[in-house]
Amino acid sequence: MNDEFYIGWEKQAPPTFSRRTKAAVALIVLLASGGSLLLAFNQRLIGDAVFEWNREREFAGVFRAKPAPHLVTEADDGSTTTHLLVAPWKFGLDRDAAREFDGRQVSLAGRVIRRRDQSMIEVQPQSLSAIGPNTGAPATAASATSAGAGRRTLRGEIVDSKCWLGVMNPGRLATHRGCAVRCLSGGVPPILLVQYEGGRTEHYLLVGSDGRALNREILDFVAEPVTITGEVARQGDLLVLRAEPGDIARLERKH
Amino acid sequence: MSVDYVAVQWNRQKRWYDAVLAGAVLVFLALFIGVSKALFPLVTDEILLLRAFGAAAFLLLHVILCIGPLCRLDRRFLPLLYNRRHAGVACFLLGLVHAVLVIVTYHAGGDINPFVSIFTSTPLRTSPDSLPFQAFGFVALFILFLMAATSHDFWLANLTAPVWKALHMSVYAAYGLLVLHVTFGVLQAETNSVFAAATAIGFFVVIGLHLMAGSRERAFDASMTTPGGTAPRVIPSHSPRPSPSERGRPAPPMSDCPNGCLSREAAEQIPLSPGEKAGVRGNEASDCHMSGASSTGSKRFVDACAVADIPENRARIVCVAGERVAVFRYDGKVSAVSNVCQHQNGPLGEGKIVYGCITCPWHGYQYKPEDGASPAPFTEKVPTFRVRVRNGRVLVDPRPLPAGTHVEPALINDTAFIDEPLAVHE
Repeated sequence: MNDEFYIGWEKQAPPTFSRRTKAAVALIVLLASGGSLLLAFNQRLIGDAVFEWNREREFAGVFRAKPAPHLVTEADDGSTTTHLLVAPWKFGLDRDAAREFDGRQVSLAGRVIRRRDQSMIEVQPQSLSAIGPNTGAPATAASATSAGAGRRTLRGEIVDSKCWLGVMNPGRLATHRGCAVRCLSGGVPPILLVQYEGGRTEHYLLVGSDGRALNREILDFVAEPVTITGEVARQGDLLVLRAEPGDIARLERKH
Repeated sequence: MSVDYVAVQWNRQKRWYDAVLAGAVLVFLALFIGVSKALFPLVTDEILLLRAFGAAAFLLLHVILCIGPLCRLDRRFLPLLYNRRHAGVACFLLGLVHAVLVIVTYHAGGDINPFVSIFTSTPLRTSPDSLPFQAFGFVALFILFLMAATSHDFWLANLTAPVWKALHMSVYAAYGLLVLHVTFGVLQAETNSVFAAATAIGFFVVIGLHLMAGSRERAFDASMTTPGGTAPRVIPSHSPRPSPSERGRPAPPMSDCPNGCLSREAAEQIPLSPGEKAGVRGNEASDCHMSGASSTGSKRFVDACAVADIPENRARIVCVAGERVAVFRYDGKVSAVSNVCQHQNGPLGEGKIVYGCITCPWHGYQYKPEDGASPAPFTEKVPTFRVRVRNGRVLVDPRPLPAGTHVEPALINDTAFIDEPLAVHE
């Protein structure tokens, strides 16, 4: 090498330093571009889920408090849709306060959260009001006779329903654990997410064997592969899994 | 160099440096966000942004960590080192945006303080799925914050270079924590092997470059010890002429000197032949020597190198008494100063005499060769060493003088000592 010497406070770097630096800069820009594209193209967890955070809508339907607060709306053609109900931020609907609305026609304002055929409404709590007396109609009976019902052992991941259904996309696994723990701790209903070969998924609303909310009892199992053995039943559009924390077993992840 | 502290002493090269830095970061962010949004229009914006900023910070940290060893391997990379602290601050800011987005998105709006949530939301178990990766990231960001906050020369001067340097070496702890943060975080979720491969390649590139640079430094240090079993030579001030038959004594075991030099104590124990005591001829590559004062207190010089080994306006780095000394040759004279720049401990011996001053290759700090002091109005000083020239050899008194002490340069054609004549010439 010649006797060129680089000094940062001089106006110009010597030619050999300048050439090497330009080559290094080109490599760094290439690294930034290539690395960026490589990471962007290889993301896999972003699913078909939406949170309409900027669009508040009015809903009317029958409020049900069990197994988790939800609203059953009826379309003009008579078909019904079940919407799980949660509060803003990382909280579930106050179950004690909501119990008075159980079985009643209510109206509420909120924002839709949906993943494919699953729907949830983030309710503005003050907007929830009864618009009719209790119809006396019984809640849709949990059916243990539908396909897949009965005692089963399911392999999946416990997620918080609000993020999984669309508030966070992606909203599962280790990177989302902190959020899921906060949401479940705040009362958002837990879901057992079961994935099958080919990408098909099923969501089981997870409650205690006596129907109680399990939220804080299962925080240690969130965002990890688990098996849960319990009673599966269908209630309207909801698949419900009744189990106890002791029925949950942690598994090694299969990559 | 600066007399007063200013936020940034802008110059043309710093402006270019920052423009390239900002451009590369913007290219990364724009491509990642744009392509991700095009491919996955339903992605949550906050998550997209936190991924973009986190990945940019991690990649930039790799580049930052590679600059140091690259410069050791090839000094033509030095322009990348010159303004590296701006890259470090940019890395911290990118990481900070990532962290704020993570806290707001994943931990705020819940039933406990979000900062408490970071440390309590993951149960402590040994499973890869359940290690507190966010706590790793938080601690790493705190280290990067300390480095960014103390990156200005104000802190360098007030903390002193060794403390500042030690603090900034913690970047390796931050990097280790961030590797854990990524490994037990996003790699447990995005299980596409591309992410794991990219992380592993980055890790091995950083480690590999450091090992290569370290290996080169070790080889350099080894080259400063006596090869071929020839004993290092001690040159007392008053030595008889060497006996040719006594040259080439096998070397004693190396001492605890980190650079492979002999310690002062070891030097005292070596029986010296007259030839070794004269030692002005012989092994030209033998640049590393023990040193010290004799029991009688007489001054002792060590044979540092041949004058001919030092290019004009450059230095040869020699190791005496465990310390690297930079011996400069310029204008028919030789001067010796500590090899350690007062600014960031840069290697002065790899510098050059520019405008009559020793100029550090890292940031251009300058010192006058005869007294190790920066030219007025600057105030930096480095230790100096007494130096002699005899029969084409440079002799250095290994005892450092206080920083800024004037030492008369040795004239290359000088054959007599000024105050302590040595009988070393034949």
